[in-house]
Amino acid sequence: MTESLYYIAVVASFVFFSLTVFIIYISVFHNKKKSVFRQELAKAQLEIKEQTLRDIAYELHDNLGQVASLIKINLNTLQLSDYEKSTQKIEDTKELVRQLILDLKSLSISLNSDRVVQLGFFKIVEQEVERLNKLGQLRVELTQEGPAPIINSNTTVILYRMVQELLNNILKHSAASQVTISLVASKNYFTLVIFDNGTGFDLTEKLKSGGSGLLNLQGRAKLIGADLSIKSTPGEGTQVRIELPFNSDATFESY
Amino acid sequence: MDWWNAVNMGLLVVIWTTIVANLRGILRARVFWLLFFFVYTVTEVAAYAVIAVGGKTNLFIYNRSRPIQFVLVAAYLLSNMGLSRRNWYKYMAGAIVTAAFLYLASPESSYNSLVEVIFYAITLIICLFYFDRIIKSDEPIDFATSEFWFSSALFVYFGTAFWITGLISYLMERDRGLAGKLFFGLVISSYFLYGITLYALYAQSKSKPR
Repeated sequence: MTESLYYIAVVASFVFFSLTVFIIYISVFHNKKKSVFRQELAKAQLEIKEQTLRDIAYELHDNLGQVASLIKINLNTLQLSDYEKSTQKIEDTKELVRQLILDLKSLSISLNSDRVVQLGFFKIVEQEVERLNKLGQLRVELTQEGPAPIINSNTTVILYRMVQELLNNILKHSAASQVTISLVASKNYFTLVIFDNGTGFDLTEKLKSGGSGLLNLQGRAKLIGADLSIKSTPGEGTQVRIELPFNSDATFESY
Repeated sequence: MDWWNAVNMGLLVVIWTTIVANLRGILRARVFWLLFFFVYTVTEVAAYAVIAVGGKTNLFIYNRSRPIQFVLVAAYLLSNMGLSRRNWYKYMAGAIVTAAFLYLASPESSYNSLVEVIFYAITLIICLFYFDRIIKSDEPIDFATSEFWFSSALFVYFGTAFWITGLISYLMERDRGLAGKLFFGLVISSYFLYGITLYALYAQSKSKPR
């Protein structure tokens, strides 16, 4: 009896020691995972910042710059001697200035990450679609299904910047006339599909030739725990699908 | 001097030398730990001295030191839990009441395994809450400067003692040979305490800004 108790104590001590090693291992493992996540998040934030600066340059040059040039041309060609024409031109210029102010406002909203978090993913995508439609370069359609999920702030910003990058790529490279964005929220997944009817591309070739933009998108998707898939055929457009799994206790916001 | 006592004293000297070399950093972040380790060292040295001068038992030293150690360990671990000041005082009041109970319940010069087991169990529970907090938190911690290794050392030491202490007093009355063997479990757990503590101090000294 005494000896059995002795062995029980020895075994219990060993079991406890193993448990301690396990707890320390789990703590170290989780901590390492969190550190890696923080580093990747910081890297993604830096990439997003650079991408945002490129987008600002693009937007200033191709959109706002063009409107400002038109305003300048209107004012330069103003002939005050011709009252009727001048009045028309001044009215046109006033409309262009109004347009410029609206574009600046919507650009500033789309660049502000706090605003992105505040509005929520669905609403900010709606605003981005409105902005793109106003540019008139292509027609963007947005469909939503299911209640808008409340996604944490880091994920919302990263996901939205991914959408912005995808839309900018379409604007710059695809020569598409029509884009469809579909947002579907189910109980366990949030699915985002962006389809354009542009020139498409050979995905394998693109990845072989570097394709750092696509790899960045893959990296960001991985960072937020989403799955990103791209289907593209030359001449038949491109479809990008992002699937973000939820915890079962995820909450939803109403439209 | 027995070999385990010699190793014990040697390691304590090494630890205190390292503590003195890093005193500023330790005083800033972990005063309660330092006080605990001071009381622990005084207890070990006094317990050895009593036997060395021909005393028959040194249990009265451990029995009187234990409640003080308990209060200091609780203060240290609770300080790492991110509690509000109000909650910290509340839990500390509970710890002091428990320590008073431990003090009154401890016989002067004999084993009281139940009192010890309560002391170790509460300490282990606080340690487990600390680990749980680390694992669940979104923010990563810096192991070198955090309390992780110090808390791990306490967890290993008190955890091993938790399993062994209860049985030692039982075995002392029935089979002194087995009790003696089990005693080495306690010796080894104290070596773990010293080893991990030394590593924690080393990691802290390596990470301090120059």
